[in-house]
Amino acid sequence: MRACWITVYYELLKYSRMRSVLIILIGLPLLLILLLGSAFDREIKPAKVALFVDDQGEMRSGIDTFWSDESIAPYIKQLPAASEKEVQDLVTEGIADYGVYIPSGFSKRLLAGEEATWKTFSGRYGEKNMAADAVINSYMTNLNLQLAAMATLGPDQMAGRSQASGSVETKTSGIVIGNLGTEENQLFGPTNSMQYYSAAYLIMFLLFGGMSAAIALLDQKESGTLQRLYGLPSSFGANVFGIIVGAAMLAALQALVIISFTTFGYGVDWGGHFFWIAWICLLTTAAGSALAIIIASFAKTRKTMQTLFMILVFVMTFLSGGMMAGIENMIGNASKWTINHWANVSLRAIMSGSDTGSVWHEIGILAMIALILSLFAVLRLSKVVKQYG
Amino acid sequence: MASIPIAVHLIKRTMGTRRGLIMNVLLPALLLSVMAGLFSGLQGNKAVIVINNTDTGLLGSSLVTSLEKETQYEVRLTKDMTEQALKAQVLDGDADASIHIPHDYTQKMIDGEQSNAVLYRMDEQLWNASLAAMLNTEADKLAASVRLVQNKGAQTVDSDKLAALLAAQAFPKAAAESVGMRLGNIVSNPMMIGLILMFVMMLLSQSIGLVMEDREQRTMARMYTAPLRSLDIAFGNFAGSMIVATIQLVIVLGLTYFAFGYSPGIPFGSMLIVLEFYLLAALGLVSAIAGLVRNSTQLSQINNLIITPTCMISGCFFPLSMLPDFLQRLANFTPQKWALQAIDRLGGGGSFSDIGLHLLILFLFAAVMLAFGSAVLRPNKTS
Repeated sequence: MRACWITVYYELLKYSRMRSVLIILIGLPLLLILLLGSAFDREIKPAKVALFVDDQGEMRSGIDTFWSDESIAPYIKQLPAASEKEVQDLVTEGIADYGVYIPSGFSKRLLAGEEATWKTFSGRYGEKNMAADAVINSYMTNLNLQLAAMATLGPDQMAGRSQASGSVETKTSGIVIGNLGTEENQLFGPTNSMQYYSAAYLIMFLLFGGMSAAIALLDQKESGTLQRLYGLPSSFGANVFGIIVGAAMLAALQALVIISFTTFGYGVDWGGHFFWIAWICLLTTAAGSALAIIIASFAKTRKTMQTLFMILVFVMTFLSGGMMAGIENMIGNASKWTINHWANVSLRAIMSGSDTGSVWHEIGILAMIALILSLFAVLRLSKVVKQYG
Repeated sequence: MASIPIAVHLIKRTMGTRRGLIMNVLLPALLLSVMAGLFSGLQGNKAVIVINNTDTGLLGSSLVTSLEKETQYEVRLTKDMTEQALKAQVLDGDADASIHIPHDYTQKMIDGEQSNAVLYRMDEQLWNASLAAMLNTEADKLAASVRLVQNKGAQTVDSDKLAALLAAQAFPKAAAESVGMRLGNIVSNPMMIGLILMFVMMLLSQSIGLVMEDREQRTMARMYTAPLRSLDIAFGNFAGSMIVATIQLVIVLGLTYFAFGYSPGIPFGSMLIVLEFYLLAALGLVSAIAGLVRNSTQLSQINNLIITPTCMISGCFFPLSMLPDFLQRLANFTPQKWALQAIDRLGGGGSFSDIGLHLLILFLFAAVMLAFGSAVLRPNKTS
């Protein structure tokens, strides 16, 4: 037992000196969580609209009231421009998402009964174009209603409505909206994007961390130091076990740092139940280490093992939606064949505070996977550690 | 011209063997090409909206007509779905939103009661918030039209007048006219080009890794004993890396363009020229990183740390505009951003004079970084 702990100690000492490895295992996930989490948050970002009003006619005040109306603020953020050319340039540059130019003769033409137009410049993003189109449409609809009423019913009918000219009507709402996702985001489920990616990348990098045991074993075998351990008056198995436990402790450290940093740094709510989270991390690490050892037993060299395992982890992360949320809907059941899926789902369930029964189901499957992989890894372990095995 | 043998040797080492050829050239090219094939199939889906119009009066169909005019949505009309079925359409992902117009929609509006159409969606997003805003406007318009033609004091409506009023609005006097903008679709849809940029950078870091190996194994030190100027050595190594990357690039682009039919709307030649400038800048970045570390193992690790995040913040995988402002500003310091923007401009019908600034920035980036990066060639700095 003592031999085992001494090995663990030296393994940890070794890891503590590999600064670049530590940065990758701990710093990279934190960076990726920050980037993806802030890129895909569910907040609606208004479309930036470059606007130039050249019209100085009678309707100018109405137009100004319309653009400064509070009700369009959630969809539109204005960027004032000084000419039609500048509007166009802002859209081309991508500084504005959409451009509007109101020509100088707009009021005059309309009041003379002619057709008049605003010029709009659609930008690159379909969603933002829709938002801007909808806002402009609301103005146009209102205006056309008045024009049509004047034409068909005569000007006297307009008397009661004239003060409403140009502003968006929000008094009566003719539409009822049913959000079927009820407080849930379509992509990230009941968690927000920060939580979603925190879970996904914690799991991905725990799997990566699981690789360090296999790397350590293969490295020591390749440099011949592992074989010398047979010469020691202690159990060889205990030493190998120590190496694996050392790697597992590195993973535990990883999980601890990532979880505490995301909690305090990014304000991620892990939902309490740290005992269960610890279990999920442990099982994931076990499954990852076992998988790496199994691959090592076939691959023999460190480089091949590393490449194969990294590709496998990347593919599993991708399939479980760690890189593109919502991919599960596109690929059907393939995500259920990954370790990440079960770990992610149970972590997200804990985060959203759902009841215990459903979480145990996922953790149970994760445990099964970890158990089967570990058993297989134990069987294959001799292939990894014996020089001429 | 003593640098030529050095460059040739570097090329041989990366793709001279069968394994090198497969791993460094063919496999990445094939992977990228397959992805190109996948992504070109995924793009360009319009939001599907199912409208269930059960209204017996005039106004329901007027609402539908105004929706059908919008080109951004794919509108499907039905008449006999239950509300439950409409919800299921959205929940199952068959439709992105569904709208139910009740049978007494017109009648209630005439009676002066609250008359509501129902919009079902998964959650609030910008596009469906705009859809809701549009529906609201339309509904308000209908309500206002009804009020206008309502006979004074009575709850009756002259339906001829209403029809005339609606018809007059169908051909609006005031409208928004969309000016056709020729914009590239790379910045908004960067995945494919972004992946190529990332792969090229990774492959470059591989050949710089070989130069690092020379340094570690003291081959570099021996080179300096030969009657060579250090400039020749530097030029040979950097030129070799550039040529290797160019060959990989030509194969990848050739496969994606001609075998898999990916076309971003930019001629092959122009694309290659822009990417060549990017290569130079990327070479600078990778070698500057290499100058900071001691051995090639560390290099490959630190590259992971730099390549993936810089690709993310420079908009290689998702549009830059999704990121917070400070990260967007930070992106100006990455070569990927400038390359993407240049390609985007070319795709939007721009000429080389439009992207002069972008190419200049990439070139300056390369010059500065290569100056730092030449540290990688100092033979005495090993672990």
